[in-house]
Amino acid sequence: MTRLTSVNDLIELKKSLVGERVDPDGTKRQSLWVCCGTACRAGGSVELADKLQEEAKNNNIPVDVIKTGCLGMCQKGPLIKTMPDGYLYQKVKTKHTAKIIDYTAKSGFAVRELFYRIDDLDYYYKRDIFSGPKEKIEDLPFYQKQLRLILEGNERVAPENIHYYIAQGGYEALAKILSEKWEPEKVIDEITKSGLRGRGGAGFPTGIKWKATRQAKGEVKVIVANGDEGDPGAFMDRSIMEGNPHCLLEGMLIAGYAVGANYGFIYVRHEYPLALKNISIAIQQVKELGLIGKNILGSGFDFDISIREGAGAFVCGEETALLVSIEGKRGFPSPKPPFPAESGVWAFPTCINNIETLANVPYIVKHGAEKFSSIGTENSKGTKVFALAGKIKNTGLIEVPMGITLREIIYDIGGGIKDGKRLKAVQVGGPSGGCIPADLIDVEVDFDSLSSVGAIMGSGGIIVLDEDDCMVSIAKYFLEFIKEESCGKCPPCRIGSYQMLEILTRITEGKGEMEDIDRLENLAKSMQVSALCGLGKTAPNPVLSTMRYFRDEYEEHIKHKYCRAKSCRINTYKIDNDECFLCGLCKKVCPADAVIDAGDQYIIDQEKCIKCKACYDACPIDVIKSLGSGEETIDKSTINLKGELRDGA
Amino acid sequence: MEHKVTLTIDGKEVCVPEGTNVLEAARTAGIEIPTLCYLKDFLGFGACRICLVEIEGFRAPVTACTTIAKDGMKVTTNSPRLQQERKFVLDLIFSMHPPECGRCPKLGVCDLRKIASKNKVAKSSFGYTEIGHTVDDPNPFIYRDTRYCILCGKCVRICQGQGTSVLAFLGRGVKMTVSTPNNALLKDSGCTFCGSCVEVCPVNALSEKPKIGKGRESKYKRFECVCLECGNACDTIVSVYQNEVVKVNAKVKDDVHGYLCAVGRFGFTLDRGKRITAPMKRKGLDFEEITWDEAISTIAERIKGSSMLLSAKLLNEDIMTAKAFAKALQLEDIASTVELYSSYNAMKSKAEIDDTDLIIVVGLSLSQKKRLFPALDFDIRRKVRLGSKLIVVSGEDLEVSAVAEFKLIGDVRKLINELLGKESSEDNSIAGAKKLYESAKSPVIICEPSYYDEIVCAAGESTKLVAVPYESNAKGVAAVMSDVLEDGKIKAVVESSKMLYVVGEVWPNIEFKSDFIVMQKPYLDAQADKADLLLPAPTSWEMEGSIINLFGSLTKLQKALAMPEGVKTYSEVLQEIAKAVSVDMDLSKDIEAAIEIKGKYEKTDFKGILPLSERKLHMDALNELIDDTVEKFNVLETKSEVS
Ligand SMILES: Cc1cc2nc3c(=O)[nH]c(=O)nc-3n(C[C@H](O)[C@H](O)[C@H](O)COP(=O)(O)O)c2cc1C
Ligand code: SF4
Ligand code: SF4
Ligand code: SF4
Ligand code: SF4
Ligand code: SF4
Ligand code: FES
Ligand code: FES
Repeated sequence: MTRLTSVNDLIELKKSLVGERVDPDGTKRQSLWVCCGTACRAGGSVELADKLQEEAKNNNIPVDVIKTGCLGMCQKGPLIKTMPDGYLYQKVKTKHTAKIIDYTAKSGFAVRELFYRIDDLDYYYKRDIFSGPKEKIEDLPFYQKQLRLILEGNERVAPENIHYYIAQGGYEALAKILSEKWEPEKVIDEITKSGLRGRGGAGFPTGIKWKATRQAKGEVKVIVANGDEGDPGAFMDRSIMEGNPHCLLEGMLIAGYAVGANYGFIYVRHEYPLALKNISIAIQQVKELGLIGKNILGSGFDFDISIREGAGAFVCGEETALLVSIEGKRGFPSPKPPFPAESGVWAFPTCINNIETLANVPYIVKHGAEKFSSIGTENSKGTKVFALAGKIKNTGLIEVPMGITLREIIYDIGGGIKDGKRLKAVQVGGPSGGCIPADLIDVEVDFDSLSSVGAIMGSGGIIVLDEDDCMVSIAKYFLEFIKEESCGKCPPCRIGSYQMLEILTRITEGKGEMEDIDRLENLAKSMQVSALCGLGKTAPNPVLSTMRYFRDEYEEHIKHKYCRAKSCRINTYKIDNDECFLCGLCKKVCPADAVIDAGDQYIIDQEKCIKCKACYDACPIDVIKSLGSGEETIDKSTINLKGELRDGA
Repeated sequence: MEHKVTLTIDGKEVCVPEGTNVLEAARTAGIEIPTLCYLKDFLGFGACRICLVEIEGFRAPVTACTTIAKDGMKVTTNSPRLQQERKFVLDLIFSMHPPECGRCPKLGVCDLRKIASKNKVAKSSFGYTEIGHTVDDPNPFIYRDTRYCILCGKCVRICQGQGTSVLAFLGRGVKMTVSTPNNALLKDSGCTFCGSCVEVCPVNALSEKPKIGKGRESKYKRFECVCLECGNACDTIVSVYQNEVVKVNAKVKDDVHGYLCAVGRFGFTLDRGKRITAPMKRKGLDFEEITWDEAISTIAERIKGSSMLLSAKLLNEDIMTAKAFAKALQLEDIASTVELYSSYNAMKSKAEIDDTDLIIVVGLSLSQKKRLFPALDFDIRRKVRLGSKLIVVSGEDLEVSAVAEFKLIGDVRKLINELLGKESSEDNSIAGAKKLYESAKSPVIICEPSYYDEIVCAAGESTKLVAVPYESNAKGVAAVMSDVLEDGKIKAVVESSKMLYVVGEVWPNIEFKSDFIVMQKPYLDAQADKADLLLPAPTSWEMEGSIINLFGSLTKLQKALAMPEGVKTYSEVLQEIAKAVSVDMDLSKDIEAAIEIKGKYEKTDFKGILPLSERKLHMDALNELIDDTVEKFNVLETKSEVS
């Protein structure tokens, strides 16, 4: 590649690429966009792409086979999008390649068997009876309510080939700033006006952070991109790093220009080999093109970027820990102030931003702050990428405009709750987040609304919970994570999370006392004040929010030894002998031999019963009741046929 | 002028230098903010959360140890909310700290208990969960018990800060411990057994093994002494329990712990030979005890015209007596061990490193690992940590170069002239170092004595320069009696065949040619074997007096222990001999006047008798003894396990 020495060179290069070498819309020839994100890759998509290529070559069919980043519907992968027709093929196997080449690549016909179908009959009959399988990406309900400003790149660029990014306007935001000779302050103003807030969790206004770094004393300044992404189940940043690395690099370059930094680090957790690989390739390419290094596009601006591989601890995503980790020390957080903007890596003023935050920057510069801020709500602008998971039909990676409601995300994009169960709550924000109960899902998804209901945007994990999820156990699950991930530096988090988990465990084992609820509350409130870093300060959130909305579940566990989700092994099982028709299935499945055959009835020996729930699940006519200890302590009117407490009881 | 900031702490106005943290600022106002993890002179760590304070305008409480005082800050250190948070943290800490303080040997000196009592926390509301364990680390000196560890990280930071970097945090969450890399034994991790980690540990997680079973620390009597084993002459606090030294600590100055090496801290446990408690005379291959009268008269008979060798480990007071003695008896062949490695001129050098912005080390072999001026190595690193720069000029690479701005390795004399003098050099790092030197406000040069003259010539007489001796009171010898002594005389003294009276412990490998050798020293060691007559002497903690340390300042020693019966001080013996030969000694008591360093710089060509390569520390033998003890300890322990 020849080095670009001016903005003009970049424009020329783009011209030479469009339509000829890069044809994302398939105007000249068919193109097959094979998702090679981590999930589809695990499903064999790389081999698939190679096979398609080979097949096309053998048959002399002109076609572009492009390996892309994650397309979002990982659950249905490997995915292939075809252009110009825009078909979306799901669950593609190597056995389909010949057909794809023969039908689609050669003649533009669709391979109908690979279309997306709604698996759920209920949904199918009620809402979609006449439409049949969905052919195109834009027809899929999963994509319809999304607004993919950032993830769109994943569908249109080849992460390993910079030409795709450039041909579609890549690095033009940078070029604009350089050729129009923007003052750095102007860049900062633009970002401030756009209303962009950090996507790393706290939602700190990016413009203010940049300004602080710009104004900090010091010759040397540094940009750090935080790609640690340690939240369990999160993969938003990964998909950007894997699928559209140049967008990140361009964002960093602009940030560097704005704050007066000449160095950038990308911190990537080492469990992300593909992200590491694709970013390395991208850096190599921009180096060759002269888009990083000395005198970028002849502007006199110097900027270098290198990668730092993280050790894979959750706490290393916390900015102060991440910065010392870059220095090669143990990833211990340290108190703020001093903030990174004053004293960061090796004490240089450092601007640390999340990957997604930085990926928004080129869009804002290119299209203007106004366009960006027209999306979203009053105080939360733009879009947000989420990893949607849990008891929902469509899981995957989504990008939605700020202000969309949780209901839309769950029912429209997510297709509703699986298996006809009832929605109970939505966990938003991962280990630092909170649970929003079903009756509040009309809440708008933006920074402030979410925190007003006790959750946080966090890095963008949404876990949908249904009636089978015990809220005490959910809190416990996150505390278990925190206990393991606490760096150990400060007692409030190190010991506080341990003690909190002890109490929660006690409660889920039916050994809790009513005082434990106060204990939890006090522990939680004190941890929020006295823990050193964000990890410890926010660790109590899952407990506090479940206690706020599901306090009765805590009390049931303690007072009645009753878990309404029946996931804790504390409930008492009793056979309603009036209804029982003596099939004996319960006796068959009981692993503890606790079901006694008394001739004319079956009785559960409570001494022997290990509360495994097997008989309850096995009973074909649902006459085994799952109860609290001492049935009499529960108001019978709140118990329905299956022995569940009714909602609100 | 350094910048000052003014803030209000609990209603009191405080003015402190810019950059001071809130915890220190409060201390200057006499307000003690409790702390468990703060180590002065290190960056605030912020781990223990005990020092939380409220600052007006801040959303949440912050740790005082990590927050830099700013103009106009309004700080509250003890509101009900803060008390509640402190209690909460203590409650948590005690849920993983053995509950029986009553049985802990550190009770009374334990920081955790002190703070807990102040905050009325007796034990944890969560009960006690045992997390740590006693660490089976076979070594004779340091006892580790992670059950007590509160993970304040002081030990880790001090060990890393001083450059030994043996300790580190391992693991996460409640499983985190302080250990060595890969949990190796201390002796296999490069640990020098300096005990700095023990020194700073606020609880009973690290302690000195020798004191185990010897009562509670708060019952110990403490004395300010000085370790006389090497030229570093470290200030110590000697703890005595039931007439026995049970523990030696570094002195704490302005809340900063000094450094002691294993010799200074644990040397008292070593087997240094039998203690001499009565005069002895040679009988064949053995010694036989005699009376003091017999001993004194034996010496008195031969003392006229005899030669005398003084150890530079003697205290000023004894040196003064020796000087009066030599004058009264008109002894001519008198020398001190200083002459082995230095001119007296160089030993009159004096400088402080407290306020320097640049330290230049010239030709001195510093090593913590080999215990060569280890405390100086520590002090230099500390200064560097606080912002001074360091240039190392040396014939070999030194450990301390790791924190140096420039290390210049090569022909030291040539480098001196290039760096400090007028000679020019092509070399980039020399040019860089020179620039740094020229722009420094108050550079201090610390040198090996034999480069002293060279440096004065190159850098000028007004340079702050200090030559470092190999013995603890070499500077005292020079100050008190350099008018009587003569550079290089030692050669004649040890080679003469007249009676030689060796006062104090001297370099072990000196060859004596005398027909009759009198030695006055505390232990019956290998060297004592060369004597014909042996006189007992006090050990360093049985003496009271003063020395002049390597930087040239007067330091006093308290007497920690009574001398065993039969032992007399050096001065007493000299006086008794004088009396026996009926000469009057002119004994001045005014030490301050006697030690005032007089005279101007005079160039001498004398650079010491011993070649540079042989100038190991006086305490080499002790050093080996320490390493040996560590080794042997293993053998013993493994044995006892097997049988
Ligand atoms: C325990 C913890 C983990 C974090 N993990 C991440 C992470 O994985 N990725 C991230 O971008 N920010 C993470 N953060 C937030 C960062 O500290 C920091 O605020 C963020 O990178 C700033 O970028 P932004 O302003 O663009 O949001 C974490 C914070 C805490 C307290
Ligand atoms: S809050 Fe937790 S993660 Fe943060 S410093 Fe304290 S122990 Fe470490
Ligand atoms: S709950 Fe499990 S152990 Fe108890 S009776 Fe039913 S099957 Fe047996
Ligand atoms: S004794 Fe000294 S070297 Fe050894 S671990 Fe402790 S501080 Fe480090
Ligand atoms: S051993 Fe002592 S000094 Fe080290 S971390 Fe534990 S309590 Fe602190
Ligand atoms: S450095 Fe020297 S003076 Fe200091 S403790 Fe060690 S032996 Fe004693
Ligand atoms: S990896 Fe292919 S859709 Fe996510
Ligand atoms: S002394 Fe400040 S946190 Fe420990």
